[in-house]
Amino acid sequence: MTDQHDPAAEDAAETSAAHEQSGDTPHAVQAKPKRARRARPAAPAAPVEVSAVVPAENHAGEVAAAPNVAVPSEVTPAAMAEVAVEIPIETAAPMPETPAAAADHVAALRAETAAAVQELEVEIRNHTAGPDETRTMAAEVLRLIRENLERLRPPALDNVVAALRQNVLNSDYLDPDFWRGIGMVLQYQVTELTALVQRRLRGEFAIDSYGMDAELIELVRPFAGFLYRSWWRVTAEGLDGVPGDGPALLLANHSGVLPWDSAMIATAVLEEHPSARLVRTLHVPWLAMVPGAAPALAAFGQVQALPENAARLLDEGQLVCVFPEGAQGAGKLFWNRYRLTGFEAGEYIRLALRVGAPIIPVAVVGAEEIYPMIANARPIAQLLNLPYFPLTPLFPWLGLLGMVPLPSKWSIVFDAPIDTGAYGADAADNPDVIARINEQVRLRIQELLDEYTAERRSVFFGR
Amino acid sequence: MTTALVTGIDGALAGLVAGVLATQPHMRVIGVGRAAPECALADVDVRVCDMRGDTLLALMRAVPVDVVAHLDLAGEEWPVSREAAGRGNVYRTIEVLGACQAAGVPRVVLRSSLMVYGARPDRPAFVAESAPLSSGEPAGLLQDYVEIERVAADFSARHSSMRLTILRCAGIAGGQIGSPLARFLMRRPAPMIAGFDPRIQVVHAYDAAVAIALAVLNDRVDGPLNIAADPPLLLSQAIHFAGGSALPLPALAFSAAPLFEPLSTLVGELPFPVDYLRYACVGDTRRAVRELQWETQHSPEETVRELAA
Repeated sequence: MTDQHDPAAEDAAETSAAHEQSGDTPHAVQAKPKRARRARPAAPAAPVEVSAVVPAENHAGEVAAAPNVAVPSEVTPAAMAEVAVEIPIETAAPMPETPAAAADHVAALRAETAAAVQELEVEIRNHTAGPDETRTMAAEVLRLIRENLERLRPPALDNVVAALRQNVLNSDYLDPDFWRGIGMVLQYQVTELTALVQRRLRGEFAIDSYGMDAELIELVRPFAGFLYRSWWRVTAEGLDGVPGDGPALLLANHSGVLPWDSAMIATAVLEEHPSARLVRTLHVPWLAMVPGAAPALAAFGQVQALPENAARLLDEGQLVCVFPEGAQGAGKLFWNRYRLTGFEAGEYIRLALRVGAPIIPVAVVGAEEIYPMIANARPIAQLLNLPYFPLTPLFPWLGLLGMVPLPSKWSIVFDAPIDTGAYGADAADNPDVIARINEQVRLRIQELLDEYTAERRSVFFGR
Repeated sequence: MTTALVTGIDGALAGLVAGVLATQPHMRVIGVGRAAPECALADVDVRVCDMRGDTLLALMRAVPVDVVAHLDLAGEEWPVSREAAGRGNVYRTIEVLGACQAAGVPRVVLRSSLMVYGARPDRPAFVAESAPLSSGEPAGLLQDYVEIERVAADFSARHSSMRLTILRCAGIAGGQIGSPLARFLMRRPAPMIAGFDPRIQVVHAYDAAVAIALAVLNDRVDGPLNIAADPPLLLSQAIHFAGGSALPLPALAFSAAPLFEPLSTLVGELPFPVDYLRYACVGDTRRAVRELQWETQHSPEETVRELAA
C-alpha cells in the first residue's frame, strides 16, 4: 500500500524548495495518518476511526502545490478505502498558525524527531535481551535514518517524519509494525534519491551563471565534511578574518598533486564560517581541456584563472581563492615541500586593490603529505598532456587505491586580512605597490608554513 | 520624423523588428526584401526589389533614410546549403554598407553572432565586446559573421562619419523562428562530446527583435553589443529542455566522422566548429542592458522549451 503514496512523494519531491513556504506543510504534518494496515494493538488511547478523507485531503494539499501534476484525486479515496486510518490523540502536534511559521515548524519537527530517533537508538543499544548483532544492526539502521533526516527536502521530509512518528516512535520496537515503519521510511529515502537522479537527468537543476550547481554541492557536502573532520582532522584558524560578505581575495599555497587543498579551504569556510560562504576557486585554464574535469569543476563553483573572471567575481562581491603557484606548486616533489615556488599573484592583487577587497594569506599545512611525490614522470605527463605525472610510494603501483590520499593531519591558517583600501585609490596602477604586497603575502605564508610545520609533532597524528 | 530601413523584410525576425519600430511615434519604417513577407505588416512600407547595391542606393536617394537595419542573412532562419549560399551574406553586407555610405546614411545596425569570439579553453567566463574575434577555423554561417565583422570594422575605420552598431546575438530560439542553434538543439539525438558540457546562451526571438529595434531607435550607442538571455544554460540542459536527448560521443568520433558513413549521419552537420561542443563561448551582456536599456522577457529555459512545444 505504500506504493499508493509513492507517486505523490515523487511528485512532491519534484516541486521546488519554495514548497517549504507553502501552506500545505502544516497540513501534512497535522494529519499524520497512520499508514499501517491494521490498527495497532498497543494503542494507548482509543484510536479515532475516520474515513479516508484525511489522507485524501493530504494528497490534495500535495497536488495543489504541483499544479502540473495530474493525480486524479478521486482515485485516492477508493484506493485508500480498506485502510483504517487512525489519529492518535496523545501525539497530536501543535498546529502552526501561519505558513511563515511552517519552515520553522519543519525544522523544529526535524530536530525533535531526530532526537527521538536517537533516544530510541540508545535504548536499543542498551537493551539486554536478544542477540547482540541484531541490536547493533537495528541501532545502525536508526542512526542512518537520523543522519539522513538532515538531507531530505521538505515534501519528502513530511512523509518521513509522519511515518516515523506514527509507526516508529509510537510503537514498541518488538512490534512488527515498528519494522514495517522503518522499511517505509527507508523506502521514502530511496524514492527521494531516485526522484533526484531522474530530475537531474531531465536537466531540471539550476546552475548559476558560471555553471555552479548548488544542489550538487549539497550532495557532496557530507563527503567533504567527512574528509575535513575525520580523514584530515582539519583545524581552521583565523576564519573570523574572512569577511561575512563582500569581495575578498584568498591567496594560498598550493600542494598535494590533486587540488584537495582547495576543496578543504572551501569546506572550512562553508562549514565553520558563520556566514557559510561559498569560495570561488580559480583553476588553471588548461584543466578545461581534460574530459570530465571542466563540467565537474564548474559545477563545484570553480572558475578558470583568468583576470577577467577574477575581476567579475570580485565585482560581484564573491570570495575568490587563488593559488598563485599554480600547477608548479601542486606538483612539487616531496623534498621541496612547504617551499613556495613561483608565487606570482600580481594580477589578482591589482584587481583586489581596484575593488578594495581585503587580501587574506592562507597557509595550508598537511596537504603536502597526502601524496608524497617522489618523482615526476615527465614523458608520461607529456603523453597525457598533463603538467606532471606523479610517482608516489602508492601511485601508480596500486592503481586506483594509490589515489586514496594519505590521512595526514591538516591545519589551515587564515592570516589577518590586508586592508587594500589603505593603499589609496591609484594603488592598482602602481606596480611597485603590487610587487610589495605580493612579497609581503609570500613571506607571510612561508613564515606560517615554517611555524606550523615546526610546531607539529607528527605528520599523521594529532587532533 | 525618423525613417528606418529594414532589409531582409521577408525574414521573420526582420518582420518582428519592423513591426516593433512601426509602433513607435514619429517613425517611418521601410522594409526591403527579395520577397514580400508572409503576413502583411501594418504601417510598414514594404518594397520588393533585387537587393543589389545600386537599387538600394536609388531607393535611399529617393527617400532620405536615417538608419538602416541590415537583417538580410541567408542561412539563419532557413537552412541553406553552403554551395548555394556562397559568400552572399558577406557581399550583400558590403553592398548595403557601400550604398549607405554613398547615400549619406548616418547609422547602420548590423546583426552578428555571439559565437564570433570562438570557443577556447582560455576564454573568460563572460566575454566582453572588446575581446578579439575567433582566429580559429570557423565554418558556415559563423564564418560569414566573422567576415562581416571584419568588413564592418574596416568600414567604420575608414568612414568615421558613419556609426555602425553590431548586435552579436546568441542563438535565437522560440517564437517559431528558426536558427542554426535551434535546429541543432532539436536534433534527435543531439551529439555532444563525452566529458564536456559547455554553457551556451540563447535569446528569444522576441527579445532579440526588441534589442535590434532599441539599437535602431537609440542614436547614442555604437560598436558591438552582446545580446543574450542570462543566465546561460548547460548544453545538456538545453537539449533536454528542447525535448531531445543528448548523445555523448568520444571526441574521436567527430574527427573520424567524415571517414565513416554511420558516424557522419550520427554526428551530422554542426552549425559551428566542434570546439563549441567542448568550450563555452558566453558573452557579457551588461553593456547591452546598460546602454540599450534592454531587458529580456523570456528566461533561457522557457525560450528553449518553446522548441519542444
